[in-house]
Amino acid sequence: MTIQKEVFLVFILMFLIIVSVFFLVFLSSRRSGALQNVNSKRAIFFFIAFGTVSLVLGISLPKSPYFLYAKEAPAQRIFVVARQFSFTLSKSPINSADDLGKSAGSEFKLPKDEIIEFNVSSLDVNHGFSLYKDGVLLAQVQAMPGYVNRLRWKFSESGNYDILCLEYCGIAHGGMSAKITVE
Amino acid sequence: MCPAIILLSALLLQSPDEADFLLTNIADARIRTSDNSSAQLSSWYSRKPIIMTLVYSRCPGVCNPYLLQIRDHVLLQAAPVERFQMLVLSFDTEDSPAQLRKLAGFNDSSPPPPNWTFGVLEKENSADLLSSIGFQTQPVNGTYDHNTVMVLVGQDGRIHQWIEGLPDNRQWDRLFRELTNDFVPVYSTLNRNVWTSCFQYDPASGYWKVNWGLLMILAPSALTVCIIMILQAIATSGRRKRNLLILIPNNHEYIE
Amino acid sequence: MNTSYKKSTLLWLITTLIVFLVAIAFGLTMRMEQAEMVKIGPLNFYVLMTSHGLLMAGVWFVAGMAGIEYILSTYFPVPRWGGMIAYVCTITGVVILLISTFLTKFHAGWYFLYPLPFYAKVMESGPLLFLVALTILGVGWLIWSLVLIFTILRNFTVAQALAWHHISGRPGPTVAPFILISFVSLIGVTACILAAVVLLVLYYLEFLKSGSMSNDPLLMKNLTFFFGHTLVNEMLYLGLAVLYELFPRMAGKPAYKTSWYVGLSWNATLLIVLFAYFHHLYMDFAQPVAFQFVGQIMSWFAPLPAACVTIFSVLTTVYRSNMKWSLASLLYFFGVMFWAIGGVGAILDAVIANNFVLHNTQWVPAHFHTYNLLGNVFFSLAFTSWFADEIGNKKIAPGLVKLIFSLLVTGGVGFVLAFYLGGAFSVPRRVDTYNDVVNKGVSLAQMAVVFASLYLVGMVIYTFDFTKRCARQLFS
Repeated sequence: MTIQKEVFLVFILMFLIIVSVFFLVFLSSRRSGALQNVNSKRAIFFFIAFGTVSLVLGISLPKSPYFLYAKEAPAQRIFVVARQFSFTLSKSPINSADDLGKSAGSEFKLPKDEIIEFNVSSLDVNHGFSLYKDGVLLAQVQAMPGYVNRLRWKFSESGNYDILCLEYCGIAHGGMSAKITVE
Repeated sequence: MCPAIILLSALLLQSPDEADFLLTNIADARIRTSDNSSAQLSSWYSRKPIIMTLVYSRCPGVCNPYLLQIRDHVLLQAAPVERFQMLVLSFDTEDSPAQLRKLAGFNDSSPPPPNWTFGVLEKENSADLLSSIGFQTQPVNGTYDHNTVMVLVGQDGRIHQWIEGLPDNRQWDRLFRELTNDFVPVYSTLNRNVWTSCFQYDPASGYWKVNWGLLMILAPSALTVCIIMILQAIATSGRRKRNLLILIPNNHEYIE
Repeated sequence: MNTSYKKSTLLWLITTLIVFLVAIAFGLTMRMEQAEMVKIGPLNFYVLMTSHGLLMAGVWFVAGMAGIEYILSTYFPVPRWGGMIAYVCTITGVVILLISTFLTKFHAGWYFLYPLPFYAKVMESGPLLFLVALTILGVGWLIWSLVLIFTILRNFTVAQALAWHHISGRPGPTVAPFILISFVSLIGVTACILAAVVLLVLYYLEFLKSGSMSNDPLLMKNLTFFFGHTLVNEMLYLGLAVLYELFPRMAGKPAYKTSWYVGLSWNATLLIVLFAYFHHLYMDFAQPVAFQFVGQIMSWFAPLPAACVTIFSVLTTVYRSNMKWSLASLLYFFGVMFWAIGGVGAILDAVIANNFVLHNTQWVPAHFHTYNLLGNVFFSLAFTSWFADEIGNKKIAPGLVKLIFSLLVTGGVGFVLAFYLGGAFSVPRRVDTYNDVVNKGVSLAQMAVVFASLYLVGMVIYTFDFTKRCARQLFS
């Protein structure tokens, strides 16, 4: 199960809970006799919410992508430069448009089960660098001009991966993509 | 090692000089490591990254204290020995590796760690090497005037860090972060004509420095507080003038 | 009540409803393009996208402000010129905006993320017209906001308006929750409009210096979302302020009081909202991790005070209230429900680890459409309906209430569900056509078109009925 689908199921669960609570209260509005002890119930409600929030924060913050494979040495560094409307991948740094000739174009081969560090930047506007496998988004990072964002990723499956632009970058944004083969 | 440092060339924190050498190739000179053996520089860096510095043992000036400081720093760092090699070279052909070893404060009872090498540049292509790392030297009355340079050379034979003079703490941090492959999430390649930025970030050392551009993000909130205070002051003076009972419609009564 | 207040409010509401219909039509056309039902091409798609986003944010912001102004005028006399300037600026701004998008084909998106405006242009004048439009809107709204703040400050000190005496239990004038929430929201509105001012100034500087000076994209992105996120967040609170005033009346209950916890929660909200926008930059690793964590923590704590207090109050108000439901109270009650649901979608996305696979997928429009289309719009429509009952001669027909309400709810829920599914299936947002990798987007777009049409029909009926009942008052 992908993270996205887990999130969706949690969402649907919460959706159903919220709808049932509101609907029950809505149905009760035909009758009279107001609620007693509102203050204590409110306090309980608030503390449950507060506890949940703290718990979720405690669990989820350390899982942030900034710490992915942070203490391990990457096997390869791949330099990714986004431009309107293409990605260029290269094994050597790309500093300007002049360096683009050194690159391997938009198709690239990478090894499986090794840590790859993508050094992602942009030569013009903001773009998004995202890794898709069979239509499932696995990882992403922004490509911001003036900055090189580094993303470490380990491909656990071999096959074709798609890189899509995930930040609106202009008229041909929808068609901006590249491919990686992992074997 | 991060070849991407070329992208750092425009980083605001760096001296422009370093940018001239970053990711340029180092000349593959021949090095004499003892009386009867010599090897190409590439035979070291092709195996592991090297930290390389140049001195000469007859130096009446900075070479000795400089080398001792470098030595102490490298030895104190917890950087794993198997990650890098330390190469101390002499540009003076009359030097010998043993003299250099002594200059660095090592002897038989306290020998250098296994990843340390001392060597002397062979005459034939020493000039290429010196110019490729920006080392300047001039003979003066049997000694030399020279600058001090330390470089980090990656397995690709390119310069990944170039430090003139004694490295400061940030430069040391950066050096060892590069060697230990610590994850650095980002580095900046901002244009020189960028007016201001939020942060100045030295990716290699991992230091964030807040730049005054961050004030731009705080300005709206601060300005709002000021405006509210001014409006309050105007309203209060207006209220004093009126200084009367205000009756509010809709039975909201408020008596001042 | 002075009839001129009613007239100006009516003018705002009618304008809002008409612009809303137009903006829905823009959105619907975009979904039809994605569903491959029409063929308008990428340029027109992004022109529509830019217009749709700004019109929607603008229209519901001014609707919220109009509601605040009207209710505030039942407490104190409000200077009229603030609203008038804002109206003129809004109309002028929107006209120039539409010229920049439709005539000069400016298409950088509502958030015109730096440096895209310098690239996403067909004509040189496009970006400049766009920035001028935003400047006019910003100036008008800033004046309006300051006039309303000044009105409150003429009657309360800052400390009183923020209900500090209610929190500490010290004596002082009674400050209704409406005043407190309006004041808090207006402060937030002022801050985010000022952020827009800074942003626009930096843009103008770069325009004028053409090439010799450029801006830090990270700084510009921070400013963009400080302004953009905070504005849409605060406009929800503008709607809530009116809800606190009107909902207990509709339920036949005594007015809500500003208790210590209501005071405290809205004071907390005032601060928290200003930091939540960091969650827009999670995937910019250039932002220090500390800021990212502040973003997630603030995004998760943001709903605690305001949402929890409001949801709890609304639920206890309705519980066994024996109340008579009207379109207005239905919209308020279920608006709060959908606001809560959209909030769940939002905080799930505000987890950095989730955002890693949800950022800029359709999950994002899913959650904000939930609490705009089904939350904020419902709040404003509730006010509109209440207002129509106040000033109109005829009440709305009961059959029409059921029809409109079910069309809006069915259409809205189906529409946002298509987006949530899009998020679950990794379908990216802001693309005109779906490539083979994410071709699930096409059928989801078809689903969205059906439901959005239902919503549109509901809104057309609503607008028609509202105008029929009230338009005469405008000229009386």
